[in-house]
Amino acid sequence: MAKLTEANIDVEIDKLVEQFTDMASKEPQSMMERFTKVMMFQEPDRLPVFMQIHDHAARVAGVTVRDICTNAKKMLYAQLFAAVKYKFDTPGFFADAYNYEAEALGAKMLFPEDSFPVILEPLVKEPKDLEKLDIPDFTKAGRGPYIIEGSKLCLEKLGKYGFAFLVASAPWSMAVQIRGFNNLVRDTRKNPEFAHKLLDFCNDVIEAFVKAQKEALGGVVAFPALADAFSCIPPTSPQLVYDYVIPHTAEIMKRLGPMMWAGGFPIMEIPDWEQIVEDVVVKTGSLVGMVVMLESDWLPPEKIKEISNRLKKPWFFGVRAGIISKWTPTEIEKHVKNLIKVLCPGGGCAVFGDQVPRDTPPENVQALVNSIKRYGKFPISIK
Amino acid sequence: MVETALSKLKDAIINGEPDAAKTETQKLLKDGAKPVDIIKGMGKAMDAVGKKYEAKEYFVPDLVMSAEAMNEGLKLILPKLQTVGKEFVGKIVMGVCQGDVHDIGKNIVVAMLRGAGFYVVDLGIDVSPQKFIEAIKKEKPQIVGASSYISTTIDELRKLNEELKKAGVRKNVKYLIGGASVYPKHVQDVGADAFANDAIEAIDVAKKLVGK
Repeated sequence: MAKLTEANIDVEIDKLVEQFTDMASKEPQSMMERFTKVMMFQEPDRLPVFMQIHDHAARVAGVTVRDICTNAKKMLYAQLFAAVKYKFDTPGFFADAYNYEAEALGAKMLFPEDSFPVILEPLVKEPKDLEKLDIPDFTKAGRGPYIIEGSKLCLEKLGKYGFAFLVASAPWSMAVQIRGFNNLVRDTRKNPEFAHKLLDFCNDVIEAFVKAQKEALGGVVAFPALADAFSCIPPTSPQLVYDYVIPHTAEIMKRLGPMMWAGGFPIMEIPDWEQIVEDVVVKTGSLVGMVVMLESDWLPPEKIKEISNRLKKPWFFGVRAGIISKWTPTEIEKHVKNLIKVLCPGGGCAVFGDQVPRDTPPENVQALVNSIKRYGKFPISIK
Repeated sequence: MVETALSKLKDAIINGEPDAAKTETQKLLKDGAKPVDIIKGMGKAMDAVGKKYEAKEYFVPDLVMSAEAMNEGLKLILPKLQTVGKEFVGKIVMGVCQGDVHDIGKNIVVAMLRGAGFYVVDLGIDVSPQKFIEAIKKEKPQIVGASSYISTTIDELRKLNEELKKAGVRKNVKYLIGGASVYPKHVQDVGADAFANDAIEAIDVAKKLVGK
């Protein structure tokens, strides 16, 4: 592996682009074609293979996490490096997605060399601080230019094999980032009017961010998504999900058109979890449903398949970080095989790596990718 | 009068009302209640909060507010305790590992452990191994607890163990780890003694570590 410098990075990216497009050109369908079939609740030739792989990609590519979070070319290089190494279907241009809006608003950030950037203190320490904030111009503010440049570069380089992710925070998670979790929880109890006002402001910012990305990409966005891990349960309560998370997420979807929303789900067994899983998808208008805890006894894949079929919505199923990094390749293969056997016949589903930790053994990542490809061929016929 | 105020303090903690908890603690101290008895009452309230969490009646936001309520009371009581004596189940030095600033979970664990009768020295976020070592030398705890919220900082838990060994203090403490990115298998990788999945489990694990 050549040492990456400012002088050779373009050449090194082009080498990887060549390898990636060569790999993709031998496939019967492109990522975009497979993804389109999934979204239409149809069967592609096989399941698309996409991964949330950021710090691990940096490690295998020999760059730092700070590099990929601040330098669009290094991010693309690391993503392509991992995609070629493990042979998955598309690079993805997003890492610490929850920070972008807060940073553009002026949050003080720390960029550790080998860890994701962190917000050092909430921007809205007091309710009156909200009045001082303006909607940022994402073509200039924070890392807006890095995101836009990276996504454009990815599409330009990969041509018809490119696949544009567009990721922004959902309103609840953005509110957590600019207000702080404890403050936001306190607001919902002591000052609900302010909590709603804060979430309205978050929606204005998110709208500006998504529009800036769409404009820059010329409308070629395959996968618009709102990330909302902070709204899962138990980090959030069912009551907060119904009173705050769902209404404000539905509002931003109304403004921007349907997107995928990853939030609001119970990650532990609670009463009425099935109803909550349905409601968060239906009431927000999310394009897809998404769950990850499918190794838990309380969340049998069969139940999720029932819900998916009933709602006629595509679902994405994440293989959890702890499984990818800590199980053996054989255990990972068995887990993925079972997920696909239960969840994927008939199409309308995808199985993905839900954050690949930095210290994950490469053979585990390979086992995940290979298993999705091996067992995800349509029609699904696993005994 | 003390009984009524103590009951109101418990309610304030269970309902997650920091202002009310502060007021009731002030009343209790003014009426001559012993700080140790107030802490015991707080412990019972946090125990009730934990049970509600286990019963899925409470979620993390409820724990956060109850923890804030208890801390409001503790702020008034702790300065009145001359020494950390046998009234505490054990002593713990705790912090978020170096490079990580996520402290929602750590704060809940600290509050629940305090509620369960531990004396907890909270070192805060982004805590360097040196700071842990200094605190261990000064406070002489039985347990040192460190958390990592993001997967990229798990290495810091391993480094902390190595630094504690180098400084010669590792043998004096049990090492407890936790956090959203930490799994039971990390105990061995990191060189820790124990793992707790959440704040409620942390109480049982910590009690076992101090032999209670």
